[in-house]
Amino acid sequence: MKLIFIRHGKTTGDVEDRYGGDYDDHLTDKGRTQAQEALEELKTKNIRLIISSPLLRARETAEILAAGRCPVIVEPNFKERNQYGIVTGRIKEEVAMETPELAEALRDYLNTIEGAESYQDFRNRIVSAVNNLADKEQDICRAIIWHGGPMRVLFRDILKIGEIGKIGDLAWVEIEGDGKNFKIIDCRRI
Amino acid sequence: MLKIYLARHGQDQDNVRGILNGHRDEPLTALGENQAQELAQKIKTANIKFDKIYSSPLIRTTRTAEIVADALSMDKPEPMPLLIERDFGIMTGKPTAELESLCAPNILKTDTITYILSPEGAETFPQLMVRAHQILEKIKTNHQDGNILLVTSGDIGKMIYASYYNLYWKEVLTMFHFGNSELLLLANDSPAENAHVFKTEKFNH
Repeated sequence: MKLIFIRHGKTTGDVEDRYGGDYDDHLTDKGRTQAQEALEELKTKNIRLIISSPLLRARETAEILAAGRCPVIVEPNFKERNQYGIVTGRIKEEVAMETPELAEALRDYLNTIEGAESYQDFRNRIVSAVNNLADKEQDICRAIIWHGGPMRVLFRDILKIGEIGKIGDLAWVEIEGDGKNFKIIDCRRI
Repeated sequence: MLKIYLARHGQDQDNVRGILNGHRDEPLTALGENQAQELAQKIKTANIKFDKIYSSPLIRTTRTAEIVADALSMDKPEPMPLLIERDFGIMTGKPTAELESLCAPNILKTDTITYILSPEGAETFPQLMVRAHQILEKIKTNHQDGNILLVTSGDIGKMIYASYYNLYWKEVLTMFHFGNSELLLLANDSPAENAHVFKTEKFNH
């Protein structure tokens, strides 16, 4: 079973330095170019199905990678963690000035602020969604378009190879396995 | 500015016998000791000063690092387990001349080396990229600036370079050879295309 996990491209939220998470922004021109480059890189992988987080930045990335040839389905459980609760979508600098304690609390991913999704709940939904992919064993290469948070859960809790930190635009990792044991066989921008 | 220097150990007993070493822990050969001394002298002559030396915990890297530290009158190098060479799994200890026949087609051939991609129990290059990323994060967390020397091995060394310059691991494997006792520089003002500070005339792996 081959799965390629891909983070979406650069977004308007990145550029404006906002707290992201469970909200919608769009790919910038740069983000679209990054997705086009990744499309070239991934040509030899023969991806036959794309499964995307429902958030627009992932779906826009998915559309470019599908290139009109590959089916795209949406899986709600692949969306980014609602880590930022009441400050979701707010500009980081403004939040740091208004409520510095909140900005400080957000530096540790294990904290759950007001209105946010706990790390436990988030991790459990990602792990369970990836296990579902493994259950629906298919003999084709499938790509998952998602976010930095789920990518970190993949490394930390599923592949169990520790912290990978900030994930770059269009970073991707290809894993091969039998559902129980996975091996990373290719990666870029990790 | 933070400058990260990467040195590969001198020739060890497995290198000279053409054995794939990995986590095997053989000492330097006499040539390897000389290579480490020469590296230390070149660093001294070039007036490069390090704020700290880290080394993989294997004896070939520890010994190389100690030789450099002594020559520069520095404290003993600090062991960093993350810097250990790639684990070659069941291919550990095999003759390098046989790797192609044992592992084809799951190999990548260059002018100088045949890389084996995923033998049983081995770390893959993408996995080394993850480890390399973690090494660089650790260094950057502990050091805001200065010159740091990492004494390490070939395969993980190349991936540290790849991770630093955000390059694709497959392309980096074909880019250059990281020979015994060679020195690479990773820095913001040092271009990826020109990473070698010192090259050895003949590579001995």
